[in-house]
Amino acid sequence: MSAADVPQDRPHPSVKELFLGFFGISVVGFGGVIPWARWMLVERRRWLTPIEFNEIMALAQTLPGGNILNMAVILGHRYHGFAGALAGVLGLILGPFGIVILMAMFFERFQDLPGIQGALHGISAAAIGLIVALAVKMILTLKGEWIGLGFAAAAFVCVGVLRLPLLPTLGVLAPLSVAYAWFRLVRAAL
Amino acid sequence: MSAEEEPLGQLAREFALLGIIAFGGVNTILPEMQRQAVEAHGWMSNTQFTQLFAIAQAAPGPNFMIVTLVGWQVAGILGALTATLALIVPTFALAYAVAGAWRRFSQARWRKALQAGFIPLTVGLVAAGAFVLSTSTLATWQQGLAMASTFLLVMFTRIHPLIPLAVAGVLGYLGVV
Repeated sequence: MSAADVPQDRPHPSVKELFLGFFGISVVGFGGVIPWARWMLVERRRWLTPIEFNEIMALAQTLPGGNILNMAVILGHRYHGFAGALAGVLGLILGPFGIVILMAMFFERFQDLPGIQGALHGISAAAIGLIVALAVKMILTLKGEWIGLGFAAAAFVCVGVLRLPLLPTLGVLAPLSVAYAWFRLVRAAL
Repeated sequence: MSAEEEPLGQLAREFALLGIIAFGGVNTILPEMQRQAVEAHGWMSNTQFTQLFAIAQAAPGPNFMIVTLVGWQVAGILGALTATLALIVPTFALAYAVAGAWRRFSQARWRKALQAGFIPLTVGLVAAGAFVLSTSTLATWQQGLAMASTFLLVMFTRIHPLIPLAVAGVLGYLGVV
């Protein structure tokens, strides 16, 4: 990306600001950081227009790995190349890394207390409730799309029920599902 | 793989591969991570894995912090660093390689097909993760009730997800769950 691609009328974050921006996103974002990222990048700091946010997010979602991580790389690269990408990613990781390690040390230190074991059983049950709700909400977005639901069911059965390894499962299902999506895009463009 | 292989090497290899195949975000690799950590390598029990997932859910930050915790469980602070870097570095390199062309790529039909094609697979894999954690961990009717209450609250109200986590934690501490 050339510097000319960066809009002149909006803030131009420094490497330090990129680090602090993504640090701020990561330490307040509970249960996923994307809504915070949008608020911080588009509304508060105005580094991105809403359309730019959507375009970068689309690419970040297409790439493998954490969506917000890909976004930090693309945005950091836009302003300061490698140093910017590194600053964005480190800002995103350092805070949560320290926090989860401290939490794990706490539970390890006190694991012999019956109350702590009970607390872990409690939050485990609630955390399962959260991911089941996420799964159901995602399934509902495929309502009426029978072929899409078929691909979802195939991935679910292979990985969840049969416990097949993910790599060969994706190796078979992904080309079929992407080819079907391509066919639909081409047909819609006609 | 040899039995004497260093756990750090195993962590690095498993998480580098997991990161590269995590199309649709890190939630999609949860069931595979569980299979690796519990069944393939025997690093921990089903219950321990779900507890790490729960701690990651209760912490702020991106939803891949479970990776850091699995590394921590296997080999302490070095394990945490190894697992986290192994997940990040390859995906960083890939995102960096295409970053300069994001505007061109974002409109390309092949990119749209790639993204649309992975959506149903992402849905199926997140459902698989939910299924694996539920069936491997829930042991008592009290846990089932805590799980079901959280599910219903999150589905049908706009409650902040930390609230049911905190309530279930307190109830567990008191010996109710």
